[in-house]
Amino acid sequence: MKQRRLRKYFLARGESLVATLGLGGSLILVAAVAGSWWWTAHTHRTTLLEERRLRTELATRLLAQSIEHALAAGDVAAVRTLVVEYGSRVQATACEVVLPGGGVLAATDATRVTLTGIPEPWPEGAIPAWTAGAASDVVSEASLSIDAQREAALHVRVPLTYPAWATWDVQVGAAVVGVGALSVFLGMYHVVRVRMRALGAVSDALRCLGSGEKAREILEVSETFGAAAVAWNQLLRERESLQLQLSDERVGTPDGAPQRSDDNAADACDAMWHGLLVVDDQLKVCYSNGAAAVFLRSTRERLRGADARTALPYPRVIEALSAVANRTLRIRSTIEVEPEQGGDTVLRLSIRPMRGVDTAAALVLVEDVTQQRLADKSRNGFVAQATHELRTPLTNIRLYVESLLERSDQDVLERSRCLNVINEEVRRLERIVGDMLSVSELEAGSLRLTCDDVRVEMLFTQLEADYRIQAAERQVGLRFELPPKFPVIKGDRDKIVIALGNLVGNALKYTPTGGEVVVSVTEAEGKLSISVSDTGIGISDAELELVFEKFYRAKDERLESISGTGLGLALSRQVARLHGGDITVTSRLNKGSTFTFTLPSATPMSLAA
Amino acid sequence: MQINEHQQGAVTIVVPNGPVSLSDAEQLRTVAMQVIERSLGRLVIDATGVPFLDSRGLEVLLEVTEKLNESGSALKLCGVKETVREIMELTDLAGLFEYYDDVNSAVRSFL
Repeated sequence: MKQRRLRKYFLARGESLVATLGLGGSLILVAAVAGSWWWTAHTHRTTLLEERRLRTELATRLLAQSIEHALAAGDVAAVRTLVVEYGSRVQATACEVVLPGGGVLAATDATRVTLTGIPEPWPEGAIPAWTAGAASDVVSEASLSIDAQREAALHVRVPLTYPAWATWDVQVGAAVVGVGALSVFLGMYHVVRVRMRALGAVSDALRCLGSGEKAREILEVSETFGAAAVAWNQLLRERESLQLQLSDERVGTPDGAPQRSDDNAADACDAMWHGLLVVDDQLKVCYSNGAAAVFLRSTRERLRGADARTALPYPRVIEALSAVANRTLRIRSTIEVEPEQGGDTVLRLSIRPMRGVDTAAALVLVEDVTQQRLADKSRNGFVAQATHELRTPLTNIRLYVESLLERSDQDVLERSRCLNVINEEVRRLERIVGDMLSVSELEAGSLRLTCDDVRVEMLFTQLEADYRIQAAERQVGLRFELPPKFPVIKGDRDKIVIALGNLVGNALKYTPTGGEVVVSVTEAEGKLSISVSDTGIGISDAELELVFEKFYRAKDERLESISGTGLGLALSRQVARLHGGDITVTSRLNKGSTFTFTLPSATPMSLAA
Repeated sequence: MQINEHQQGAVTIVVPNGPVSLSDAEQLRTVAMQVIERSLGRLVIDATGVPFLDSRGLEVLLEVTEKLNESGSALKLCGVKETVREIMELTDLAGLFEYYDDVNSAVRSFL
């Protein structure tokens, strides 16, 4: 109730603040205009009356002089004409020529005339005093002196009035100015009101806030007041959101006191590279750190308060969360899921009940274990393939050794054949173990390149020497298309020879009799590209990248008769990448393949061991 | 500037070749952000082919780092040349990144 009263009081006042200012200003302006109007009219009226009085007195003196001359000439008719005309002109209520003894020679009111002509002799005595008229009349009295011997008096009474139209111009002018000023004021007020009402409302809301009001719905102002009102409401909403967040972070502290350690814990959770979610017993997400939002391809804002069934759409996870909410799961449950949008991503979700909380909330730890799973798969594959590759020569060796031991009566040729087979299988084992060691060393990062200047032409001289005989035996042409000059590059000569040897050896191995292998070299944009092209069996598109994986051999029946460990290309690519280059392949099935070994002309500093 | 990408396991290796500056930096930013979005931050930038980077290049590395920081990760760089490293140290940004000698070491850090 108190809040409502406060709201009513303050917000009503806020709404009317500007209106009050406008109304007050209008009243003051109207009063000022009315006062000015009255003062102007009053001053004008006073001026008019004073002017009329002066004019009447002046005219009376002039009339007196004219009457003196007429009397001196004995022309009574002229005197009377002057008096009547004068009285008519100035709208006098009375204008009389009075002689001593009270006789009236001429008057505007003919009934007042008592003398028919100039009396002879001129009467003696005093001239009766002029009776005072109304207070608003101008009473003028002039002494007449005829021939400096005869005395008389001219009495004039003129009402001191003026016609109403005499002040209209001033009144209309003042009214026009007043109305104009009021209109301008109201116009300005309207413009200012639009801008001021938001400020007035926000100002009142601030006062309300200062007086202890906290409720957002009470402090909010109408958003029709404009951008300032919208911004104010946004501030209130953000404030409420922060307060909610703060209060949520205090959950678990019995006294609800703010604790700095909560902030530290939140910061620590955000610094984790594992996702962290807290799901309450209603299966609502209460908390999410940044990593969880990224792993679940969402945002913390969207996750907060979201239904866990939407945020974690995995039936087994929801089942485990429900079990925690029902208090039937009290130990950790670990589930691995593969998100639909994540490609080959594997997420491991560990769910366990939280302790020390009244509600049955669950903590969900989200880990990205994709790389671990791939590493496991690779390792398992490596072990399986290595076992297989090692078992074949070992079995052959065992069989031939047993044959030698059991059949001591073998002739020399047969014994020699067995020993040759054993020798070949031992060398094959040695080669496999050597390749495996090289690949393992490279992958473990324990192998360092011994970088030095490498003369590229010498590489090809050695390659030609190594593979010329093999090419001739297989009746495959081996051609080198080399430029006249080669750059000197930095790298590990022995490792590069091994890598290139694998490429040329493979090309010869998988090219049928009569085919050709061409080694060509180009240099462009700081890169040396060595291409090994053959006219061999080719590789299908699906297997192009797989051939670089350890122990991988293309699924082709024609390969069954060709020995190989499946480590050569993996080793060659690792060597290339360790030099800052790479090996790429293009191929057409049954047409041939081209492997391109690229090396940067400038070798990275980190490799210069 | 040419930017190559290749996978090593679940990790994407981004290999820029050339100085990271101006429009090239924007190109690197686009590629790196796409990889982060696609692979949940399993990204390594192989800087062996980067001889120099300017302020825009540094800015891009910072943006990528901030993006990775959202999930508590950091930008992993390998093969960083001395010149680039000095630029980072002079601008007091060197401590924001993880450095590895080679790609394999950087990839193993995801295990």
